[in-house]
Amino acid sequence: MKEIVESFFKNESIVSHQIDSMNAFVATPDNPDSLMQKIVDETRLSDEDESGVIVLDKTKTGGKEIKIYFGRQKERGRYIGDTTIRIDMPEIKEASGAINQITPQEARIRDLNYTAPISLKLRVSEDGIEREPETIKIGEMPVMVRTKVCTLYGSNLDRYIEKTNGEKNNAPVNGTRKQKLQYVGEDPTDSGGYFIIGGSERVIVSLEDLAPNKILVEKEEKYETQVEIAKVFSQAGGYRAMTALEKSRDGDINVSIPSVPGSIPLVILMKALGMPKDNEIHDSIFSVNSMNPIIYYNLEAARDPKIHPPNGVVTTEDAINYLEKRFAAGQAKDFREKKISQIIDKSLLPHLGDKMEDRYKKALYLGRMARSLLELNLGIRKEDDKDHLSNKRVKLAGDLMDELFRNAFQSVVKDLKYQLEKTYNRKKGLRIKPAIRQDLLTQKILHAMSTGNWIGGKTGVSQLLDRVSNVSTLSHLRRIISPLTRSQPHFEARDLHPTQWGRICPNETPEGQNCGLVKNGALLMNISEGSDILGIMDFLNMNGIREPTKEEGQMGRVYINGDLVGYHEDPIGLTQTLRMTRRRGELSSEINVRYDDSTNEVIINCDRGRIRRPLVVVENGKPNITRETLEKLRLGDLELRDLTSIGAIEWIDAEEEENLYIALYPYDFPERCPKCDTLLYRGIVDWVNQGESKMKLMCQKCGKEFEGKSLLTKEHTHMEIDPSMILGVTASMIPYPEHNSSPRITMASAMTKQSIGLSATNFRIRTDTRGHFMHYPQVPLVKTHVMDYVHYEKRPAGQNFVVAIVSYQGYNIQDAIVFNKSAVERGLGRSNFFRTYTAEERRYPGGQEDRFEIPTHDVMGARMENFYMNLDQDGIINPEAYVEGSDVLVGKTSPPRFLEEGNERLGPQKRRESSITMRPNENGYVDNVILTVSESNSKIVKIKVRSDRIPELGDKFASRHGQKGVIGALIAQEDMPFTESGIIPDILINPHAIPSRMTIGHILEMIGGKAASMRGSNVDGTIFKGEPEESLREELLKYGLTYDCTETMYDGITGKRLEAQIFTGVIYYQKLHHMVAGKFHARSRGPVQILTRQPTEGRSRQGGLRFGEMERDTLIAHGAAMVIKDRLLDQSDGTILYVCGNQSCGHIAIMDRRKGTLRCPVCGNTGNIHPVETSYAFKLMRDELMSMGVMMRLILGDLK
Amino acid sequence: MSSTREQKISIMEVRDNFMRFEISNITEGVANALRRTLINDIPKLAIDKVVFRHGQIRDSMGNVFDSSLPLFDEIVAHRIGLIPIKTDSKMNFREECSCEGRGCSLCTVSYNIDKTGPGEVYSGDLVPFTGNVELKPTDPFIPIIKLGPKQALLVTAEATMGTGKTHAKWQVTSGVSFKYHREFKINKDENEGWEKVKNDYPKSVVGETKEFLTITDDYQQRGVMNFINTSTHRSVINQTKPVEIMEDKNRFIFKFETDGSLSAKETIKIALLRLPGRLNILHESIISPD
Repeated sequence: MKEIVESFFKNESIVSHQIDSMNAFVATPDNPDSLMQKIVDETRLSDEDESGVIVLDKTKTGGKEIKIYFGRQKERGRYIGDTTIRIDMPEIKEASGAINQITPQEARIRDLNYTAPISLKLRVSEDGIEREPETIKIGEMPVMVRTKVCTLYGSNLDRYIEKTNGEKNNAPVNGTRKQKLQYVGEDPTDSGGYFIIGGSERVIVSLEDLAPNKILVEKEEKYETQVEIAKVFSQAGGYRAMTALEKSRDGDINVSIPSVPGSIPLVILMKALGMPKDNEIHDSIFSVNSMNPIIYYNLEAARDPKIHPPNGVVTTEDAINYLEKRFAAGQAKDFREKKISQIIDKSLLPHLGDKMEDRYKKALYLGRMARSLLELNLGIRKEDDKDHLSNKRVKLAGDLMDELFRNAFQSVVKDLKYQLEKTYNRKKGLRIKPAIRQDLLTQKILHAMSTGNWIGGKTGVSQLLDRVSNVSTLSHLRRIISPLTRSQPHFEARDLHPTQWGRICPNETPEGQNCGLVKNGALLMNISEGSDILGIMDFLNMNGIREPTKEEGQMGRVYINGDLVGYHEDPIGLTQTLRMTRRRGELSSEINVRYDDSTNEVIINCDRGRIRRPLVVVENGKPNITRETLEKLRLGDLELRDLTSIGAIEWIDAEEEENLYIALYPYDFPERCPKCDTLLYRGIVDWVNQGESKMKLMCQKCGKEFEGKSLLTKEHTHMEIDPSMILGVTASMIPYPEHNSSPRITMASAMTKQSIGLSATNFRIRTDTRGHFMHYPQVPLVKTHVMDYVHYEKRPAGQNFVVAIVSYQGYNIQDAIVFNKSAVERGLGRSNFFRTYTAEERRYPGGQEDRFEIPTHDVMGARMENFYMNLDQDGIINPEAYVEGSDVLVGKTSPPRFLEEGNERLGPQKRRESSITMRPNENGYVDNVILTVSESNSKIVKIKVRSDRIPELGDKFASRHGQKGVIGALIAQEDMPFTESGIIPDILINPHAIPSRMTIGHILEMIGGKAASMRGSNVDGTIFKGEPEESLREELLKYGLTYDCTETMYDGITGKRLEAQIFTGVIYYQKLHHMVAGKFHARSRGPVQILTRQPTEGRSRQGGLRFGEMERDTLIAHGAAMVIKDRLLDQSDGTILYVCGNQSCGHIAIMDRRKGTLRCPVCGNTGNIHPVETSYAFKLMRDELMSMGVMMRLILGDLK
Repeated sequence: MSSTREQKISIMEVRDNFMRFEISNITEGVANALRRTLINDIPKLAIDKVVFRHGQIRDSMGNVFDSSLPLFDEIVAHRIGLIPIKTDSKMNFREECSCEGRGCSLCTVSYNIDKTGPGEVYSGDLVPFTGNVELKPTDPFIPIIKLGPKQALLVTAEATMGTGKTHAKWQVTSGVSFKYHREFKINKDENEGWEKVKNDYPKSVVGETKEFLTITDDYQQRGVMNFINTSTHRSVINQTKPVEIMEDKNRFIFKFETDGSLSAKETIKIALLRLPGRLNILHESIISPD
């Protein structure tokens, strides 16, 4: 089945869910039903207005009826006609007015937004006479890299290259795609799936959310009693509202509606919705006889004149009167009607519609909610599992952009109407183009994208793309976050749920407060795009479904996307037929169905955002896939989506999976190959004759076939493609994870994301503010299959170390690592660190601007000449210059900040020095100097400084098993223990690191690495199918090593043989980006804060090291008063205050510097003034109190 | 103790860059001192200073090349530093040289690389031009860098003498190790398959008495455990009483190889010469405690 996985990764990108989602969103000519177009069609100015059209106020147009159509018209439930909105290629309008298409790399370097213009086609009808449609640019839309509208997308790139070739003539017009990508400065294997805003890459992280429009029943503790609640998060368009039904202890069923205070009795609300007859209400709720008492009780309560005087609520009018009285008492009839309509049409269950005629539907729906509620109450139904993935939906970039665009577009249309009405001029007629404010849309979207603050108060939606290593980037693009608050426990929500199998990685999650809330997609996961409901409705109508008016005894209910659509006599048969039809390709593969035998319901889903996974269909104990198809798949003649259309593979959501019986493995095999006697394991056994009656397996070692034992039975409905695909990207990098304790896998996947290596091949021209690059990254000796799929061998992040597990004088105690200094000198673990400094010649209002130049003497704050020595004439430093602490990189002067500044004498104003300098505690060589212009045509210079990071004491390293440690000592080669063959380990780790952590995978990898280095080929450590321990140990023996992987070692210092046999092996270690060079800090004296005069905080500001409360406590315990005074006063903010000694005054005196005298400004006292040592913070407090009118007098006295 | 007995050296194998020998009747301290000297105290030539030409580089045809390289200068310099160079052991350390550290032909060899892209730069492109010009890299095919089109590497470098104590690039030897002389005694009565074992090993390692078969692992890289565990003999050897191991802790089998800058013979000669010098340092520090 390897062919299926390989084909998946060959044809689909690892971030295809992001890209597909955006492709469905953007309006391109080949996709007339894009989400954007739908938003445009649905947009209306207010609830009363028609959608897709602006109608200008007649009073403002001089009586003319002017309509501006911007959306398509609706006909029979569908929008028809030409599309009205369109996105073009990403481009930038230069300051010169020229418009140029841009590439992602240009956007990154020039700090641009990678955005494409959105144009809208508007049709104006004036008194019924239609004008020629106008196409106008309304703003810009950020473009996701590698989507259809991106410059890098297949044919787009070809066209772009051809276009640019005219100017430079060196473009690879006939080159390969790889060459073309390289030509535009891209890493050919970069996945895309992110946006570029202001030059920085941003990801829209997928959001996990409770499924909308689904009735969820649960029990809740309220007022110390248990109540049953049925909830629906109703969602229509961009609007979301939760309607809840609650059954109290005494049997009352009440409905609470958003933006409505209190709750409304169910029966009254149903009556108000146009269902006045009691038996009708009863029928819509009823399902079993035991419900009757509760239903009757509620019906009676509504009719009871005592509760609802004078005559009880009987008719629809009564019910509406009741509502009017409650929510709009004492107001005009008009207003009352409007208010009630607002409540029951807009706020109540908006997904069912917002018109008068939808009211009856809502009544039926409420009845069904009540039925579920009562079924829960009577124990027929179980509480819905909120953490079950079938009750969750994932919002991808496309959905989140939908929200954003909907909001922004609405305000554009509103503004357009306002502007048109304001500027309408009878003579000149209607002019639309100047009335559209492009900025409004662009800024709204860009602001949200660059801050991550989405509409609806969500924060952190867009994040800066993690570029530490290639896998961290991929993992970031596959992240799924839950909006649940981090502070509350939510234990159940954090737990691993069985439905997450194959959809969400069980191991990759952060530790601590976000544990279990931040998740990552499993490898073969995809997210449903959704399909039209009409197709499935047609199918159901043809297969004998009954209208959902009345509960029909033994018939099964049929739901689509959580909504009851009818009843069916044979729900099991219906489910089967549906599946068969889908497998034939006659129904969309987006549809999933489940039959729930406990409630006799058929649940059909075809909405967006369900996490699905592919499974092989098994029928009659045989998979629906033949060797032939697999072979075609391997050769690329078929793709995965072809397999879904022939019914060989199905995408299954968590709901449908409840019905399935899935085989983990299709076959079993003997322990050893019957032909060549090698130890067999899943990784080297292939099933070679799928589709034939007698199962044939093949041993990859000898290539011979033998008979296998099928594990598939008639009961099986599906078969796992590959169980190793349950992990996510980072967890898949770990060899033998199934032998480790699970917390260590979690830690290892977190650390893989911090390991430095080759993150992108275009790193030399990238301008990330911080970046790392490893000098000699290696492909791990013990690999996993997934590494091939994510091209890990092309972007590795680590090195294979020779490791001995032995203590070394205590230098590797507590997880420290002893390093071989000579190995480090030969290049082990070396890396580079980059930092990019940016300077811009900014323009200020008033025509003034910054200048890159070497500041002269007359510039305020200019440094000594030698500080500018490294600079070139243009004020910018040269490449390969050595720079260190606070050296100037770009000489820059700015105009004076205030006009008064420096205005003491007449003459030209002095400019300010505003040079860009190195960080005080960093050094390095100038790697690259990039000079370009910004969007506003001001010069931008980006200077990349590189520095060597040679492993030193304190640098952090980790294996792929959560075994992290810092360097405890660098020991010369001759002092290290050595083996009889002369091998000296690269590192020594402490034996205590192993037993309590139970990282057996670590041990196995060491054995595997040793075997691999002897054998000369990689060892496969893929989860569930890697080369087993026994096979590795046999391999060791074969090459003359010991079975237990140990070596005899001699002490390098004394020359004596070590008593114990030392376990040594080769294992992949990762260098993590926490390095001493970026962290070490000390200060004796240094800068202080202006306000408090206390030392600054933080390494970057050369701050002090806090002598905190607990440290202070220790000194109190010692009675070391002088030390406390020294730390807390003398070395902090101690100041001398001159205090007026006048007993009735006590103010602070002023020193007259010129005369050298002291004088109290309040009482005029000049003689009786004394110096007092206080902290400056005290003086500050005194001043602040004074500002509030509180006078603090310092009354001096003699010490007694 | 065995120190009363006479020391004996027997050489087992000598190749240009490899040597294996046995010293008997020494303590492990002495053996280790020799091993450590071999690793860190053999003077050798290595490039210590690399000067890059930055900016435009022109070749003899007047074509213009760029000094920007695919690798950073630091990496290139580090790579050049690690290239083993043929060493004249008579050369001086710079700080001890008559030139007083200024650098002369007695202590310094200068090299240059002048290569234009596209193409690879190998250690063979490192050409000596002052000092003893015979001192070329031992292997001309060590890759240094791959140049792209329009790229050029123009570098001058200086090699000086140094020892492994300062930096690993001045290390002549690799794979230096010793082990105890060891014999495995197999009781013929208890191990029926002894004859198979005997036939499987070369005659030079097998000894035989009436009762016992002895095998030494002097010629083997691997140790005792390996011998027992080797799968072919596992069935032969009685698992309950496998073999008796006789270890002589005063008889050491040494082995090392060199990177070619010096021959193995030369290296051991220098090591044995420098060893007393090292002991002198110890001696002096004992008699004059400052």
